[in-house]
Amino acid sequence: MEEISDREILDRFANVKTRNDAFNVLVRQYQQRLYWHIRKMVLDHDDADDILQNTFIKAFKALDNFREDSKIYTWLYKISTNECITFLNNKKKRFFVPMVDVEYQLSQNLETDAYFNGDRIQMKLQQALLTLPDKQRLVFNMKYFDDLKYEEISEILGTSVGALKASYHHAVKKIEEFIKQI
Amino acid sequence: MKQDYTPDNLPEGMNRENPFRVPEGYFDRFPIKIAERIVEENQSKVIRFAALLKPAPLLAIAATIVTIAVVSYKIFYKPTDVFEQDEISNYVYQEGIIDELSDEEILDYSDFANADSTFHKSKSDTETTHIQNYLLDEDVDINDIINEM
Repeated sequence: MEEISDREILDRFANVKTRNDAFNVLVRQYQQRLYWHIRKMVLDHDDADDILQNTFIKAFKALDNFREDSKIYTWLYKISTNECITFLNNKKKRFFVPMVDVEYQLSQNLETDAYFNGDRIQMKLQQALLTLPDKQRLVFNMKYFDDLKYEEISEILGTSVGALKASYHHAVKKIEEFIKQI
Repeated sequence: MKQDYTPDNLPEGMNRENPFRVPEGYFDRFPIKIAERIVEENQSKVIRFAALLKPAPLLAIAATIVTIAVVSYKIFYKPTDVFEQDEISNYVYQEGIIDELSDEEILDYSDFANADSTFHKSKSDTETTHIQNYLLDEDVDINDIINEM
C-alpha cells in the first residue's frame, strides 16, 4: 500500500467531507506497526485488539489538535504506549495474591496461546522479557524488534537517550542471565 | 572499549522474527471496526448532548417552584415577633385607649386588623370577629360593655 504523507492526511482530515476517509487511510497505514508494538507488551491478541481500538479512537478525537511537533506515527506510538502502561497497571491492581503475578499469568497464557507460534527459544525470550520492568521491556521491544532509533524512543517515552541506552544495556544483561539459568 | 548492545548481539539463537500471529483477515476487518466505533462515538456524543439539554425544562420547573416558594414565603410568612391582634387589643383595653376611640374608629380598627395580612388568623381572632359582628348587628355600644366589666 502506498503511504500517504502526514500533511495530506491532516489536510483531508480537516475537511468534513473527507474526514472519515482520511482517518481510514491513517488506520490502514499504521495499524500493523502499532498492533505489533502493543501485542509485544500485552501478549494476548484480544487485549492488543482492545488497546489498538482505544488508541485510534483517542487519536480520532485528538487529531484536530495535533500540533505536528512530531510525525503522526510517533504520536500514535506514544498514545498506544500510554494505553499499554495503563492496561498493565490496571491488570496488576486486579491481582491480589502476590504469588500469582501478572507476569507469571502472561507467561502461562503464552504457552497455550493459539496465536503464538514461536519456537522454544522465542518462548524463552518472551518469558525473559516478562521478568523486566514494563518500561525496560518497552525500550527493549522498540529497539530490538521495532528497530527504532534511540532519538525516536526518547521522543515517545520522554526519556533521555543516555538513560535509554543504559536501560537497553541492562535489559540485554538480564535476558542473558535468565536464559543461562534455564 | 565499552561494548555497545545493538539489537544483533543478543545470545546465540535469538532472532528478531515475530513469534505472534493474528486471526485471519484481522487487519482487513480492523479499519471497518474503527469506522463503526467512530460512528457509535459520534452518536453517543449526540445523545450526551441531548441529555445535557433534557434537564433544561426540569431546571425551569425547579426554578419556578423555588421562585413560587420564595415569593410565598415573603408574602405569607408571619414573623413571630409581630404583635398578635389579641396583644394589640389587650394593650388598647388595658391602657384605656379604647375609651378615647369612637365607635367608628373601633370599627375601622377592626376592619384594618382583619384585612392586614401580617395579623395571624388565630381561633381567638375569629371569635372576636363574630362578637364584633354580633354587637354591630344588635346595635350595642361597646363602651357600655366596657364600663360594665
